[in-house]
Amino acid sequence: MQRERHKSSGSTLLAATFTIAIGALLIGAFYQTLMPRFRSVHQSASWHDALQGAEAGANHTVHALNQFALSTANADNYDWAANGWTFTDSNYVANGERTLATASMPALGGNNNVALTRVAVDVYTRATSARNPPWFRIRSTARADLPGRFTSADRRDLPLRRMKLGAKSGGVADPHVTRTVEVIAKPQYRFSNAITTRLDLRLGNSSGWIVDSFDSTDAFKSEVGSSAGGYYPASLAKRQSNGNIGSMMTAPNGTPYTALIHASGATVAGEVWTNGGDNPNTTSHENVSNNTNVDPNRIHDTFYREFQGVTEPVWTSTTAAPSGNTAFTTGTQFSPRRYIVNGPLGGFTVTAPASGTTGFIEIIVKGNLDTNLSSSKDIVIPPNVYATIYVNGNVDFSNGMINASTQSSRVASRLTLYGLSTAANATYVASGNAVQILSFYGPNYGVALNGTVTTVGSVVSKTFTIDGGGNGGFHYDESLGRGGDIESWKTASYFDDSRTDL
Amino acid sequence: MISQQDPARQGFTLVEMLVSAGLGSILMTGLVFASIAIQRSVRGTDHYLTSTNNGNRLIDHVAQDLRRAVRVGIISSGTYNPVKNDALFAVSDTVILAINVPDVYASNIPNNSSQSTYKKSRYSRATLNTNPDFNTQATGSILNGCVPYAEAITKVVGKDVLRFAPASVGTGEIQVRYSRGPRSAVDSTICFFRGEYPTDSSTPFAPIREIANQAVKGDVSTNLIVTVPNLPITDSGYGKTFQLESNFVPRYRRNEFSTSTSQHVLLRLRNDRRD
Repeated sequence: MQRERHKSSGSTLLAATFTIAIGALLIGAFYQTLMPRFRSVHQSASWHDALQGAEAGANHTVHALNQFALSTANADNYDWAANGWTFTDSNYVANGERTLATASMPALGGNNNVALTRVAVDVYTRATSARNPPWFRIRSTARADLPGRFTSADRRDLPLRRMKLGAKSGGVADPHVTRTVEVIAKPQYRFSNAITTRLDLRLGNSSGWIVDSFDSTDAFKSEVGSSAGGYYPASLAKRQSNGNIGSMMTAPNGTPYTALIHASGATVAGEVWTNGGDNPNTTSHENVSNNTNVDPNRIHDTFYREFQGVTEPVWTSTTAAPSGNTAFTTGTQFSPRRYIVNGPLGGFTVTAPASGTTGFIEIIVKGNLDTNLSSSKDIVIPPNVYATIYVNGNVDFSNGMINASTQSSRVASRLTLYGLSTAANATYVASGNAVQILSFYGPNYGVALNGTVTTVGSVVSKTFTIDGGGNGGFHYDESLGRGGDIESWKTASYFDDSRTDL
Repeated sequence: MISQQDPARQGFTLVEMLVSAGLGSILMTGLVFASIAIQRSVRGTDHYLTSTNNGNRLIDHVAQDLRRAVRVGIISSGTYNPVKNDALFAVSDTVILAINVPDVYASNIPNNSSQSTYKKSRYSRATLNTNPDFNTQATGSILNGCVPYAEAITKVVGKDVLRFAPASVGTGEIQVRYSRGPRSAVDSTICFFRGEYPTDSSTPFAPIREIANQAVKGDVSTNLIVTVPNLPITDSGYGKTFQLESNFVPRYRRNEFSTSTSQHVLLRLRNDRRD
């Protein structure tokens, strides 16, 4: 009896096994067919994640460059070592490659364990202007885990994703995908615009008052000048339209769309940038008032700039100021003649060095720079001289000829003026028929020009105001945007390197 | 008379047979239908995933090139026209998407060997360190070991931009073209292809490569659609914003009104345009 019951149970077991087998076959077929497809989707996601990681490495490096720029305006003085960067090959240090220590790399992570594997910087090229500022090349490589060692469902994925499916780490399978991006960062110089202000910017109130540009290093964009470069051209054909102006002034709370630059009817041949203020739902540009002589296509509201503070340089060796402050002399590029004037300074003349040589001079003025203090209201910088002046007090050029007389270079790159004052009401003024050919950096200074003042060069200040209509103007020398002090870094090119050896 | 049958040898009654056969038939029929349904589901899912992957690959290729592009346009009837604003087109047999990217590699002839010129920048660090062409200055000069400025930088539309290659080599750009057509003379399957060309040349550096095939369902098939939004010229995204769309029709749909499934990518060119 018992044995026969076993026979019945066997039939049931067989049927159940048969049913389970069919079910297992179906599930197996499902997995065999579809899992590689799902895997492809996951591989694609990892490939995207790796790009995000690589771009994060490049962003981190551009940010590091901008931090360096806050400490010094000379890119060759950046303190790389203190920030985790070491030369890849110590035989090549002038322009050679530096790599970032793993411990200094930003932590990424995520579901696919995105991580930077290498971030390197080297000098791609150097500009030909003074100090040969570099353009840096950043190469950033990141990786992301893959779901397994199994290949993609479609062979056409392989040339695109370039996965390392058989990779091992410490003897353990480590399938992953890597992406490399190459970014070239170019320097942004302090004087990259005609006029840049932290706050209020008001132009001259006549259509004859113009902001435009030329290029003192280009014979087609300037007229024949001194040995230092060409002059602002009389020929309209040579004048350029890159007299850009920008203001970081922000709109008051509750009034997001309002005038942040007052064009006052003046002509601006260049871009006009504000930090907000333009209503995207209207065609008029609320951010720039009285803008009838500004090209509406060149009005923007996405301006952003951080202003570096400038501190008085510390020199170990200086020369006593000449008697009467009338005959300053020069040194060489690597050993400039350095003066400290313990008090105010009036108009002055720099004695030209020997013909065929170039002289360099740096002056710290402990008081005001006020040309009213001297019989001549002029400042004379000969064509073969580079002069840099640091002023602790206010600046008053009255109606003088500042680097603009016939004995002067009349080229803005030859006279650079830094305003060091931190006083709330630091001022820079000029009036009458003054002509000033220079670049001025004073983000704490209120610049006020009264009358028919003509400025050639570039100004960075707290405010910029023109009082009195006049027919003066502002002529930006484009060569200033290609050299000098570096203020920040900007991406010049981006390349997703899809061929490099993994 | 009572039969003396062994209970263990008793058969099924007719009723038992009919019931068991009926139940068995129902079970088997259910299994067959379940099997068919599962097979349809697998096929549908397989088609969906395959098409998704095709679209992913297609969009990923184009997006990778667009991110590094310096010019974007279409070639139609042999004529190139830049695409900057307010445009909508599908890559077709007659409309080719042309993307100019920097010509950074030492060679564009495919060579998969390790450290080949195909895989290395023409200005690799090792080249700049040791090649005499980049070390022409006096010993110790800071200008040694980098690309000479005049070779590295050029002016396009009034802006200083990277040249990527010396003027003697070419424009510093190569053109990637995305086209559509039959896989081969003997296989009429419609596919999408990617080819790298010297600018202004109709001869690619290497044979163009198939990157996706066009899954066809009914009268609708996988597409690559490029949309450029209409932005004011003052917008920072003007000429640099592109939307890519790849769509396909799933094998099974909830209803006839859901025509297709599409994937979208919205991206911005990382480089300034040169056109």
